[in-house]
Amino acid sequence: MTKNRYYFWLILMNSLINIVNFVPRELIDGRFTGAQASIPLAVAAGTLLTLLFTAVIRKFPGMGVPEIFTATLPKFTVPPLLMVFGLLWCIAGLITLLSFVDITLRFISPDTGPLLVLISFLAVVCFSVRIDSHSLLYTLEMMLGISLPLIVYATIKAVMTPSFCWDSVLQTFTYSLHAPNWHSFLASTFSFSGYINLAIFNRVFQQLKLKPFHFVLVALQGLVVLLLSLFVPIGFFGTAAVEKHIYTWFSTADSIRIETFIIERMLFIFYMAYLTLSLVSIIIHWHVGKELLLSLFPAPKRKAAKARKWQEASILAGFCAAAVILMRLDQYELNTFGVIFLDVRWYGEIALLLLLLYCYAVTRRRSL
Amino acid sequence: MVEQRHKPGVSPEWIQEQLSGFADLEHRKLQASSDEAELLYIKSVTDGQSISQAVIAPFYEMDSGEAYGAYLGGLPGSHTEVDGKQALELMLGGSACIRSGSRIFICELPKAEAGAVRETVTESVSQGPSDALGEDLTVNLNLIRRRYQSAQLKLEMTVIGNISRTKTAILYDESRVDHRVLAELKERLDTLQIDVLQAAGELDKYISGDKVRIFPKTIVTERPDRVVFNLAEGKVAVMLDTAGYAIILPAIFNDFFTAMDDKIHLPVVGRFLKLLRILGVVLTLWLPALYVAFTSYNPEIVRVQIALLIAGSRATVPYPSFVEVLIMLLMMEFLTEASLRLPRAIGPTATTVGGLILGQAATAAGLVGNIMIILVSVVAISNFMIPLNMMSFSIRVLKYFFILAAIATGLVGVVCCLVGFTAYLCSQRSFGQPYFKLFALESAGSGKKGSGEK
Amino acid sequence: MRRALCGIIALLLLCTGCEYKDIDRRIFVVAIGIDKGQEAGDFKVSLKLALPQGDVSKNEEKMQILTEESTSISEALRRMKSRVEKELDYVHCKSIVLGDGLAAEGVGHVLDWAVRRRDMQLILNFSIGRPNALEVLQVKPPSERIPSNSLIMAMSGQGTESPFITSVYTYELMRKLYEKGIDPILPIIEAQGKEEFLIDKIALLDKNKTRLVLTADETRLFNLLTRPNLRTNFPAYVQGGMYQYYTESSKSSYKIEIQEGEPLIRYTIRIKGIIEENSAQTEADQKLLDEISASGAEELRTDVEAMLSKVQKSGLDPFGWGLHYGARHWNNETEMEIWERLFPHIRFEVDAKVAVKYSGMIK
Repeated sequence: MTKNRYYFWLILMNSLINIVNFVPRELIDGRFTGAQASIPLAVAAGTLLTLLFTAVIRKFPGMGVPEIFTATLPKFTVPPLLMVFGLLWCIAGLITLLSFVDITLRFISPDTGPLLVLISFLAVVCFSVRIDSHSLLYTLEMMLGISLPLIVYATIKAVMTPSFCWDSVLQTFTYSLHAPNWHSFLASTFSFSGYINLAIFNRVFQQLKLKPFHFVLVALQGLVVLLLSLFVPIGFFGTAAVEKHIYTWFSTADSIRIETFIIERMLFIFYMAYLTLSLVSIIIHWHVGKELLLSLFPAPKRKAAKARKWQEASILAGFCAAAVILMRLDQYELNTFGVIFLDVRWYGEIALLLLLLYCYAVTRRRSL
Repeated sequence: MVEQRHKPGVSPEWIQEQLSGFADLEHRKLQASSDEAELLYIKSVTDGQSISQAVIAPFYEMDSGEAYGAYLGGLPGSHTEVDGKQALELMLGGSACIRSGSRIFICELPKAEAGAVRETVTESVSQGPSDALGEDLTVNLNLIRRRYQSAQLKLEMTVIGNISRTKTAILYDESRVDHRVLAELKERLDTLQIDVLQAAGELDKYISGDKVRIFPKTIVTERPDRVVFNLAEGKVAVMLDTAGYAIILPAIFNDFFTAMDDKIHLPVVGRFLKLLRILGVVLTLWLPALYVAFTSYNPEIVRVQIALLIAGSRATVPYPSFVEVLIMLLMMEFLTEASLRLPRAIGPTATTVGGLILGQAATAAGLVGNIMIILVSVVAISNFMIPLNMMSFSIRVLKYFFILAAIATGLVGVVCCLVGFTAYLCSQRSFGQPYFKLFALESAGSGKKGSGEK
Repeated sequence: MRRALCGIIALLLLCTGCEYKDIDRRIFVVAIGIDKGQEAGDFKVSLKLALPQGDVSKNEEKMQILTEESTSISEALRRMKSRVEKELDYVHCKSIVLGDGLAAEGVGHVLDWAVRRRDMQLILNFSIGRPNALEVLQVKPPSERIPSNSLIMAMSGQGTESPFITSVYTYELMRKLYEKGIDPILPIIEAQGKEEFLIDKIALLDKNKTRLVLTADETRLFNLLTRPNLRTNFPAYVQGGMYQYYTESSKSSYKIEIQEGEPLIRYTIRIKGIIEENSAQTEADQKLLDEISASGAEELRTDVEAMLSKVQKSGLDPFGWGLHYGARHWNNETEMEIWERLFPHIRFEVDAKVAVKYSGMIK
């Protein structure tokens, strides 16, 4: 019996990680062209999707998407579908990984070789991905327990900075009347897509009881996180200079000074918090991707645990190889890649939701 | 002599039924030419010598059952008018139940082992009982039973080791224990094939299953009050004859940070102490690694004033920071190990010589920086804040992993290492219980534990 | 699996050698000074290096200053690398001092360089050095133990809380340089001999170069208007006696009002004070306190109005009035043009209220 709170952690993780995944980029690019109006829309849409998806998947207690598909869909459609979704999750992890390697090289260890950083990330991720879903949820909770207070501290400190320019924030706010912008909208919905990890993690949620209050909480945290990711950098860099920064939020953290600690620059505290969070996010995404791809292989007989290990290893090797190859992307290509993913992901989510609704309809008809 | 009007139900059979599952329950039938008597007592809490002198011997010396009954009634501490609850309490407190003819006597013959009990050595507390488990199993059982007077406390005996034939007692509270844990433990003990078993920690190694282990999954303790505390939480205790320590399972990460005096202190103080211990672990794990990371990869993280201070203190040091750290840490480990092996009288000498002279001389010679010395001392001290030795040793080893990570990639490595170890800890199970969880603190201590998550 | 893991760790350890650079093989640059070079377009870059000292108990400071001229800042830095035995590390650079001459030509280039470089903090202090940056760097106050620490302390407000010092971080300069409706400012550091510096003026810049320098008194008023609780003293004159009151707390805010097409900026200043100095040495009573308050407020009002008009006449907007106006108007396309037309006609109204509450330790 896994508690409800783990479900919330999954959503919160995705919501917080948006800073690494180019969401502020899209929002800031659209600050004069309707990003503000997109945010409430995205909150509504995201919460609705969360609600629907959770409601559907609850009808299949203890089942992941592979089991649901194999039980209801025609045989030949299942492998390609799982393949596509598995890859989607793999890419989700990849983007976080690549942009974080880039951030590390820019802000923390310019002297360390990119490959070395990548390898150390991959070593941790590959080791942890193989852990069972239950334990991963515990890990997630633990890591949030460490990083969330730091992130909250950094944010509060940012807003309390005397030179935080509220006029710039207000100036941006006066652009709210602009019609919403599709790209900003898609990017903002990323904050809510943590629920989608239920595709696999539903296996460990037996009785997911959710009250309306929980969805209010989901909507609220999304709204707060999105508003902060848009407006805090503007308060530091103004409405014009803000778009000059590549990793806006890390530059913002670099602008915060802690007066009374052995570490003076908030950047490093923020970086450590986000490094743990990103690693966990990569682990969770790849775990889902791995499980989806793993179900493509025929289920092993009892004795063949060794074969299972090899299958896992080969999938992970594939993921790692993709990461190493994609390391060659330069800053602009990576950015474009991330932005394209943000869009594709949205359609993928809708597709998965529709498929699950269809599966539910099939099972209903069968049971009648 | 009082005429007997026993309440129905109190009889040796009834008591025996209540105390089923007590491997240390002794049931004897005494038979002389004409008379018959029945004797029932719990071996570990009653005094065997007094029983033979005061109960058994007179039975054979007296002529009739009548006279024997009169004798028993007159014994100091003998009860006749008792109900079932009292009878059980008396039995658990160290009484023998004797049926002579139709009458039943319950005589208090408690065993007092005070003289033979050692004081705690490895787990001292500031204000609390200082009895320690000894090497004699019956004494230990006595210590436990005296603190846990419940009929639910069951005891099973078994023998482990083909050569050593070590008597092993499994203790648990029937109403609180998780039976799956118990079954798993028994299964593992049954399949155990070893020749010699001499220490409790050894058993821990054999029964926890997995090959690579960094963290202990059972508590090895010498404190009877810790055993009792954990039994009440629904855990199982295993005690070995000749070992001097008991092991308690399943143990989760948090259990290792609970000292027995947490309960003695005021709540605020207790929390503060626990916080201190966690802080201690963080420091001992991270400080050396962070020192390497800060001095060699990321000097930009600390303030400029501190960076210059470190640089200044390292100005004369002729080798890279990680060599410095490793040298000093190893020196510290040598000291710890050496003072452990030395006879108690010479122990302090080693510490003084090592700590003072080595530390002073090393900085004066410019082999290590001043800051390094402070750091190593902090690491050493905070390491020993963990109340249980097993965990404290694990942490001692673990910090080298962090240093290695720091040598490899600086701060990034340290954080990666942290995430990796957290994931590893979370993936561990101690007899089906999740080993490491946030908010595990709340569920502990509230009496009965949830019966494992699955 | 375990073997693979060991392999990876071993590999990682082997890889290290190349990037491993200990703190004692780096030399920290704590301040950078940039002046105009001899030839037009050249930069004269000076670095102040902090040399760590082995014995902490010795109370002396070691520092070194390197100077190099080149056509670009990067080139000058690279050249200086071969003049020291250790690696130059800029991560602890806490201030960039621009020469007076360079600031008059433009700060955009240097700012772009400082923000673009990844090892430069965004919280380093920008300032203008007089007579030039090099001389400011060479100042070495006798009280200083860590090189350039006095500069760091003075600018960060951790040490002295002088009401004349304004600090400007990189990100602030960058924000104000690009933002419409606000203009950047920079503090001026004047080197006075080898052991002393003076920071009591600010330079107002347009989007690129210095245009106006405020005097020390104006700088204090500027600080009074831009930050809360400025600790300073202001004068008041009552019946020929001169009084100085210390500001225990201060607060200021402004509102932009458009009255019949004429813009009016209404400043509200609230100060609570304590008498610090009394030239008449008379006994203070409630009435006198009230009189001092009234006179002080009047004094303050005229000074602030003069300063504001001076700033407005220069056409600069260091207070961000334009941004303030824009932030409260929803006609985003036209608001800035309207503001530019309004700017020369701004009238100021200062509502200063001083409440001197105590007469100090004596009556």
